[in-house]
Amino acid sequence: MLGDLLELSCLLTRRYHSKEMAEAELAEQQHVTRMWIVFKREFSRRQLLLIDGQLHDPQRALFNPSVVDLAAKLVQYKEVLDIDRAFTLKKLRTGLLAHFKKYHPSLLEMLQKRLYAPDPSAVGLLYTGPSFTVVNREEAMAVDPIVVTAGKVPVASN
Amino acid sequence: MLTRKHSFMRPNTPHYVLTLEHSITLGRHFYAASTMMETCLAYIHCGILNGAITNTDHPDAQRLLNRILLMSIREYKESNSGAYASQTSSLITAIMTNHNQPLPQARRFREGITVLILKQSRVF
Repeated sequence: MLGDLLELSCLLTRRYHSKEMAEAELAEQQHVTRMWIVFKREFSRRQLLLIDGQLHDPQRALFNPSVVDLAAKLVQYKEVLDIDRAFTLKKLRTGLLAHFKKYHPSLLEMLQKRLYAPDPSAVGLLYTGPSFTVVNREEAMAVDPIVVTAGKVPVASN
Repeated sequence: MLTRKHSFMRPNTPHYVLTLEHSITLGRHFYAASTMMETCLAYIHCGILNGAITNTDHPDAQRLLNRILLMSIREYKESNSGAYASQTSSLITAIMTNHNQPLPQARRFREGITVLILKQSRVF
């Protein structure tokens, strides 16, 4: 949650939309975004998630859906309250699409679907996926390399 | 609050400051891994409702959150042979949780704001 939130934090900042944000502050936020994205790739190379007895790639099973979910819920929240004091709903939506186009092009379609056809069951701010246990990829390979390499666990990618 | 010099609040606690005499108040943000979820929720509320529920920005607080994330990432990278670092556990757990908070309802929110305005009107 913290990583996804900080990645999208500029879009929740009034000074960003009014172009009052200092260049150094903007650079720092871009750095945090890049570091978070690199971390997710690195984590997915090293670890797997054990969900309901099956191993899953963290990028696809956790990181990708959670950032799309947060972005969609921010728009949903803004729509519900319709308060435009800091920035408009249109600015938030446009900003999120531009952000995903730049940093998560493969997730853009998924986000667009969520933005224009909201999930009625998504009633909370937080991502509520299944419970998981983190497993070291190397240890999982040592125990059962067939399961890990048989295509059940996709190769880590964004 | 009147008899104490300090007051600590958990994150995501709605509040406003009211004093009977001219006063100087000083606020600080403290972040803890155990309450990071509430901190994130408060961040979202302040971001979406900026101007309606807060009268100031907190760029320094943002920097602290950035550092917490970057420090956690560094701890993870420096962990031995890719082992799952305990410091990262809270970070990952904070991403995905079954704890959920309903989206605010517009009518209830406006009622809340009205109550705050009426309280202030009575005092001043």
